[in-house]
Amino acid sequence: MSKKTAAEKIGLFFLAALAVGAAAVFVGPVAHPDAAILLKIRLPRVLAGLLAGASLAGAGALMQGVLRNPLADPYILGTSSGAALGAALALLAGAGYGSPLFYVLAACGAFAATAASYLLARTDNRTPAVNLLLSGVIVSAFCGALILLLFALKRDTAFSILIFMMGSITEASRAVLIGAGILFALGMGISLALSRQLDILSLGEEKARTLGVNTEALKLLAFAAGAFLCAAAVGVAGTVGFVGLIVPHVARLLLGPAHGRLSVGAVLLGAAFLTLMDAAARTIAAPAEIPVGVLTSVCGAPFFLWLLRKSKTEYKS
Amino acid sequence: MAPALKAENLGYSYNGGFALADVSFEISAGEFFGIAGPNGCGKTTLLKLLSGDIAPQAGKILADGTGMAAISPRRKAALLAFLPAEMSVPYDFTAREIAVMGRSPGLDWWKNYSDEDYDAANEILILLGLEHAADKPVNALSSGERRKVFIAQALCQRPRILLLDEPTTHLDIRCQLQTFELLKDFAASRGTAVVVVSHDIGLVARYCGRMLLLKGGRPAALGAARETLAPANLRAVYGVEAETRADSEGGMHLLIKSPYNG
Repeated sequence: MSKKTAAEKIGLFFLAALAVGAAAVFVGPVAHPDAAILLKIRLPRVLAGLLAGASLAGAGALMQGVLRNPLADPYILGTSSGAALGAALALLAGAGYGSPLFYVLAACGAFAATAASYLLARTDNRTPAVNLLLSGVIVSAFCGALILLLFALKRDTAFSILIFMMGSITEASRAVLIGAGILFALGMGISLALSRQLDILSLGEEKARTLGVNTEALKLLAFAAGAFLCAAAVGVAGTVGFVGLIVPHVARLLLGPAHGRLSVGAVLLGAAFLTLMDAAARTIAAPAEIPVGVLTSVCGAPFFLWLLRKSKTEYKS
Repeated sequence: MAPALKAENLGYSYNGGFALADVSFEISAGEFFGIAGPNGCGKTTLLKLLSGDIAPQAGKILADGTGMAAISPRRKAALLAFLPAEMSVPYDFTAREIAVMGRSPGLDWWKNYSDEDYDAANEILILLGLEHAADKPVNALSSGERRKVFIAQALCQRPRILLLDEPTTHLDIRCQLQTFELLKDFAASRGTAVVVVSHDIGLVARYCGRMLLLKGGRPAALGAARETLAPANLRAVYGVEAETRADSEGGMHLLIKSPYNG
C-alpha cells in the first residue's frame, strides 16, 4: 500500500472517530438535554469511551505485534484483569478513582499479568499461540478470583466492582480522564517509537537479533507500553473485551501489517467503535443500562469467528 | 590483514548430547566458502555460533580480528547478516517491506526508513528478479520466491560477512544456479565473506572456492573444494561413491554414483 492511500484511510478513520464522538454526545436517555447534561455528563462519558476504545485497540495492536500472534489481546492475555486487580487493590486501600495510586497500581498489575502470561507460555525460546492463550486464561482467572476474594472480604463495594469487571463506562471525572490520557499518551508514544523494531520482530527473535534488534529490551518496553494503555482503558471503563482483538484485525486488513500505521489506524477505529457501543449500551434498554463490555463481547465474539473463517491466511504461522 | 572470519577450536554441546568440537578455519574477505556434511553433523549449530546467536563453550570466533563476544549487537548487525534455514512471517508484509528491513541496522532506533533505503531495497529486488513481487505479501509468493526475498533482505544489510543456511531450499534448478552465481559475484564484487551451508554438495563443488566437510560435529576435511570432495572423503563422510570432474570450461561437477556398501 502506498503512503498516500494509507494516509487517506487514516484521515478517514480520524473523521469517523470525530463524527461518532460528536454524535454520541447527543445520544442518551434524556431526549432534550440541557447544556449542563451535555457538558457535565455526556461529554466526559464520550471522551471516556473514545479514550478507552483507543487505548484498548492500541494495546491490542502492540500485543499482536510483539507476540507475533494475531490472537493476542489485552483481555485474553490477562493484562486487563491484572490492571483491574491493581485498580481494585488501590480502591480497597482507600485511593480514589483516577488518583495517581489507582493508575500506578493498575499499570503495575497489567504489566505483572502480561509478564506472567508470557513467561508461563514460553518454552524453548518460543511462545506458541496455544500456550499463550492457555496461560492468558489462567492468569485472567487467577486475577479475577483474587478480585472476588478481595471484595468478598469487603462486601459493601462488591456490586460496583462487579460492574467494573463487566466493563462499563459510568464514572468519568476529570481526574479519571486526565490520568488515563497521560497513560494513553505514554503508551502510544512508546508503541510508535518501537514501530520499526516491532515489524522486524515479526520475523522471529533470532532473525530480529541478527538485524540488530535488542529483543529482550524491546519486549520489556512493549509490555510496559501495553500495560500503560491497558491501565488507561481499565481506569475509565473496567475490563472491556474484544475491542483489543477485533479492531487491530480490521485495521490490519485495511492498512497492512506495518506497525506504525496499523496502530494509528487501530487507535482511531477503536475510539469510534467503543463510543458507538457505549451509545448503544445506554439507549437500547433505556432507562436501564447495559455494561458496554457485555455488548462488545456479544458483538465481538461472532464477528471474530467470522473474521477467523474469512481470512484463514492470516493464521499461517 | 586479519581474516574476515576466523574460528579457533570451536566447541559446543547440547546438554551433554551432541557435540561440535575442534572446528577451526579462516575465511578471507571476498571468499565464497561452503560448509557441508550429512544430516545432524553440526552445520546449523556451527552457523549459529558464527552468527553470534549462541556463544561457543570452547574456542573463539574472530570477526575482522575482533572477538565476536566483544562486538555489540548493533555493530554485529552492521557487520554480519544471517539467513536461517526456515523463516515464517505471521503477517502479510510485502516483499519490499521485508527487504528494506535489511537496512535497519544502520538506522538510529527511533528513525524510519528513508527513500534511499527503499531505493536500495528495490535495487536488490530487481537484482534477484523479484520486481514483480515487490508489492505482494510474502505469504502469497511461492516458497522459492519467499526464500529469495529473505536473501534480498540479507544482501540489503550490505554485510562484511554473510552467513546462509540452505539458501536454495525450495528453489528450482535454474534459481539454485542463479542464486549461487549471485552470491559468488556478491562476494567478489563487494569483498564480502560469504559462508553457505548446503546439502547440495554439487552446487558447493561448482561455486565455492574452499569448503569445510563436517562429520559427527568434527571437521573431516578442509580446503579447496576439489580436494575436499575427493572420493575417499565422500565415502568416509557421506557413505557414497562419487567423484568430481571438470568440464571443458574448467567448471567442476560432482558425479554421484552409488551408496558405498563397503
